[in-house]
Amino acid sequence: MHELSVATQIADLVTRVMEDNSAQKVGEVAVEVGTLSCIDPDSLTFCFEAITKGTRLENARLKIEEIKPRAKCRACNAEYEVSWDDFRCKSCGSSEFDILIGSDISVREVEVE
Amino acid sequence: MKKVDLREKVLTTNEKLAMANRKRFGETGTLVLNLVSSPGSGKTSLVEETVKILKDGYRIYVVTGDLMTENDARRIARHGVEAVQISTGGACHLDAKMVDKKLVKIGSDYDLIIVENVGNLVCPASFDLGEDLKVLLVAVGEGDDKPVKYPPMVRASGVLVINKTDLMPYTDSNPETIKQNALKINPEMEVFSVSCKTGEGLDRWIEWLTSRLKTKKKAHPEVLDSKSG
Repeated sequence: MHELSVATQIADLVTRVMEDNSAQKVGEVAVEVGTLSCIDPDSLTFCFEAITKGTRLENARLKIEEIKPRAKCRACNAEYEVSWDDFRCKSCGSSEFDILIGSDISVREVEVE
Repeated sequence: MKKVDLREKVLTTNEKLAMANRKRFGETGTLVLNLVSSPGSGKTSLVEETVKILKDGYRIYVVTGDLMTENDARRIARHGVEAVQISTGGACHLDAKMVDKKLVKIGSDYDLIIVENVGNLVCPASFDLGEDLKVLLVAVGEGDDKPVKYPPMVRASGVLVINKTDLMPYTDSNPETIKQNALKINPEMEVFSVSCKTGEGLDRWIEWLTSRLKTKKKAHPEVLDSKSG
C-alpha cells in the first residue's frame, strides 16, 4: 500500500551510501522485504524506477528478497514459519510467541563505484 | 563495483512522523485510540456511546476521517465533545501527518484522543498515526471470517470490538466465531462484544478504557499534578 513511501526512503539510503563512499555510480541494491510488511515487490520496483528515472540513481537495480515470517514459541521454544491465517505455534498450539523475522523492510547491500 | 554492507531498516516518513506523535502523546499522558473497521461497522456509534459516558470525567478530543462530508464530526460534537473532521478528498486512510496537522493546534490538554479512521480494512493497517492502540470493529452480520480475510489489520490492532450484537437473532453470525478467528491471528487482543444500539456490553469496554486512561496518566504524574492544581 505504501510502496512509494518505502521506495523514496530506499532512494534516500542509496544516495547516502553513494555520498559516504564518494561514488558516482550505483548498481544492485539488495532489499529484504518481510511479507508481514504487506509491501508488494512488483509495486515497490515500479515506484523505485519511477522516482529514480533521470537521476543519478537511474541505473540502480532493486534486487528484492522476500522474507517469510518466522516465530519462536515461548512455551515450547519451537521455531516455525508463520502463516497469515494462524500465527499460533505449529508444534504445541500456544498463543504465546515472538515474531523473529518477516515484519521489516531493510536495505541489505548496495553496489557502488 | 564495491559492495557496501548496509543492513539498515527502512523507516518511512510516516513511521518517523508517527514516532514523533507518539512521543508527544506520551509526554502529555494522552491516550490515543485509532478506530478502524469496514465502512458501516459502527465506529461513529461507538465513539458516541463512549464520549456520552466519559465526557464528564475526561477531556476528550475526537478526529474523524472520511473522504467527504463532515457528518461524523457533527454527530459526535452534538454530545458536547470537541470533534474535528479530516476530509481526505479521496485518500483511503489517515496518515500521521494529517493527524499531526489537526492535533498540533490543540495543545496537550486532553486525556483521550479518539481518531476514527476512514472505513477501510486494508490501508489504515500500514499507516501508524502514533496511537497507543488500534481498535478494530467488526459488526455481527458482516461476515464472521472478516478477521481471516484481513489479517494485517488484525495483527496491527490491540483490541477487537464486536459490535451490533443486537442483530444476532436476525443473522447466522456468531460473535464467538469472529473472536476465535481474530485470536488465531493475534492472540493478545482484548475482545469486547457490544451493542451500541442497546448498550449491552459497553460497561466492560468502558471499564477497560478507564483503566487504560489511568495507566497512561500514572506514567506521567507531573501532568496529573499540574492539571489538578
